[in-house]
Amino acid sequence: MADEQNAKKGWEATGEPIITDAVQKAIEKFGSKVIPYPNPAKEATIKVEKEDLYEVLNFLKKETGFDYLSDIASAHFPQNEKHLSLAYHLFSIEKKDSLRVKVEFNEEDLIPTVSSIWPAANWMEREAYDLMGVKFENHPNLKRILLPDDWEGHPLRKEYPLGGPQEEEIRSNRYGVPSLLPDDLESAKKIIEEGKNE
Amino acid sequence: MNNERPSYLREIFETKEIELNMGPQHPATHGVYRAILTLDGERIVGLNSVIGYLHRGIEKWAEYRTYKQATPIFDRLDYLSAVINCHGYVGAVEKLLGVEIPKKAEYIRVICDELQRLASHLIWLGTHALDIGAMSVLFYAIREREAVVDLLEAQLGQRLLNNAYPIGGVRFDFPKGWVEVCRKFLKVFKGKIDDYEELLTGNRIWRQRTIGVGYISREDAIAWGLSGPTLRASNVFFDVRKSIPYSAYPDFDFEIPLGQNGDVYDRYLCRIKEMRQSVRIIEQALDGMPEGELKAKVSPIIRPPVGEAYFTVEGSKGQLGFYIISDGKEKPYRVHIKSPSFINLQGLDVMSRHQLIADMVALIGSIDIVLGEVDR
Amino acid sequence: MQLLNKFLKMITFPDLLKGLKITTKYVSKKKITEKYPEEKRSYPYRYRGRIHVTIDTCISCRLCEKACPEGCLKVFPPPREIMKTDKRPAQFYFSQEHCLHCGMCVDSCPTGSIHHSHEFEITVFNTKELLFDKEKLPYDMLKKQYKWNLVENVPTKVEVKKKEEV
Repeated sequence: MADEQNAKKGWEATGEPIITDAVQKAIEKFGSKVIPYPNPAKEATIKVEKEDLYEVLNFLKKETGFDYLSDIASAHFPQNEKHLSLAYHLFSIEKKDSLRVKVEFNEEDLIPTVSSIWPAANWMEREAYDLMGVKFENHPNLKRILLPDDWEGHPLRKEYPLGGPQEEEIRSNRYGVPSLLPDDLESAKKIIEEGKNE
Repeated sequence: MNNERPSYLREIFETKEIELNMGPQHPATHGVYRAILTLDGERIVGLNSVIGYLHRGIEKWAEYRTYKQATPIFDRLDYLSAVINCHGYVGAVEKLLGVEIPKKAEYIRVICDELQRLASHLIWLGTHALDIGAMSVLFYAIREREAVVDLLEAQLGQRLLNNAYPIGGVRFDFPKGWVEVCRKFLKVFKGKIDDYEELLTGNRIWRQRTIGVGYISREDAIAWGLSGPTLRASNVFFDVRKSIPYSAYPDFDFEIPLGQNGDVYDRYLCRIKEMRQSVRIIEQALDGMPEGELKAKVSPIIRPPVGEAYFTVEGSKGQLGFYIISDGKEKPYRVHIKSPSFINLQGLDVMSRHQLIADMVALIGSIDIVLGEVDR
Repeated sequence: MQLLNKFLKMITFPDLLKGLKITTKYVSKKKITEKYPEEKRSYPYRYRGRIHVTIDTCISCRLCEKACPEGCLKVFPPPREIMKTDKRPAQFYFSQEHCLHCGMCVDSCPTGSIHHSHEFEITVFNTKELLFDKEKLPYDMLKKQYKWNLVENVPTKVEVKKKEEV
């Protein structure tokens, strides 16, 4: 019952929001557009809407010195109101300060590319498009990168089966771990007998 | 430019850009990496990287296992530095759990990490020199790596893909006599680094093949998100061990070697100096080994609080990051890996502009990619 | 003078000779390579080779099955009436085909019945030979003659306890 309720609501992160100087500056500049986000691991996190994303990131690079884009990570939350999320991990090489910028949106939404701010975002965004299906606007070369060009679907989405859409479903053992061992004693015995005869 | 030439010359010497495939089965690409080069004469004017031949879906794989069960698969990312990969993942889970690791366990982790860094750099040195044409360095580098791997085997139980650390600490203390063997090895190894340097650093062929090749400026290196020795060779002070200190690294006194020019030669020098620093760290850690517990108290079923954590370690190739989202259940909701090789390979496009095609081999060797980490 | 020095360096190859000195140093030295199939090296105590199960001490708790990340172990406990007196598993399956040698099952075992041997030559021609059951698993282990003594090198926790009691 509790699980069902959680699934409907979508779960919220625990912990307290951390406010650093950079977060303070961003709040002063953008006001309520920037929301400090709670984090259990005590990492500074802010959440923005996708319309303000480019502006905020540009400000963070130019004014607060986040010159190094460490990572762009995507995630899929089918139970939430907004299904996809991106986390930009920024780092300032001189100030040794790090910050995470989160943005949530839906599958059909277009996200502004940041490859004009940090060229490093080029492949990171291609990876997010390839594996998670995040669509970026004005990206110089938005193609699949890890999977072949004619691949169907986005494997890291939650509804995508582990064995692929066309392939046979992979069985799990009683602890929920995918296993290729034969389920019953009979078929296992058969294999062992065949192995002995070889 | 063609139009400026006299027409009779154009007829005789008409130049045309051609496309050349390098890889996927090329011995110098260090794996299944395919580069589609656009050539103008002997100069490279365009590079299109094709990757993904080794994509195994490790991130998806981890979502179907519990936090503990997912540990061994991350060894398969960068199979030449499995210990550091394991440290990255385990550290991210510990950060999410908020567990304090005992000091002794941290010291053992640092020693194993640095030994693994030595092993990884030795493989890089051997293969990079082999690519450029210095054959004998490979034999010497592999010989010393064998000793390092033997040490790791005695401590962790496996040679290459050693599921090194459990969540919350380390499995064992060092076996009897291990510390003495390690000290002996480090003493010998310092002289061996001098040997490598004598073979390569002053060698005129080596210098001609590497100096001024594959230049990348400080600004470009930061903007393209490079990390590790590839970034530090461009004179950027960014080492996770100093910039975002983790584990027991703040306890030790070591330097971060920086390069000046950002070319292949500087990247080589950076890694060689880094090996000397690693030896220094291991010696300090062996000297100052504290007493105490090996493992923090972690419940057998791991259920981290709801939220996310991003933990980075200094891998042998660069900044290796693990981003874990937890939904409060036994299995990680999402594991994202920031792999340094993947990002560094992106910078190859900038480095290879207007370089000779023969230097492409030196360039790929100098950024030290491992395709298992690029493709995940 | 400087020019002359440079010229001398150019024609006498001091840098290349230095490298040559190191390579010639190893001509007379002993070879470090091992002749593998003829000479077997010794393995450290903690070496993680193929899984070995002592069925007699197993209590069918299935913790190893729960810990395995590849699901390559399967334990079938005996029927309930027998379980009260004899806890040994009715059947035990282990697939070498999918084993990662990660040591998770060994970490989780409360009695130390499951442990790594030092056997590493596990290549076969047919993958069907890689599925082991209760009878086949311990038998194959001891059939092959190895340089190291298996029982001495890999004692189970129960064996250690017994020794202490004696």
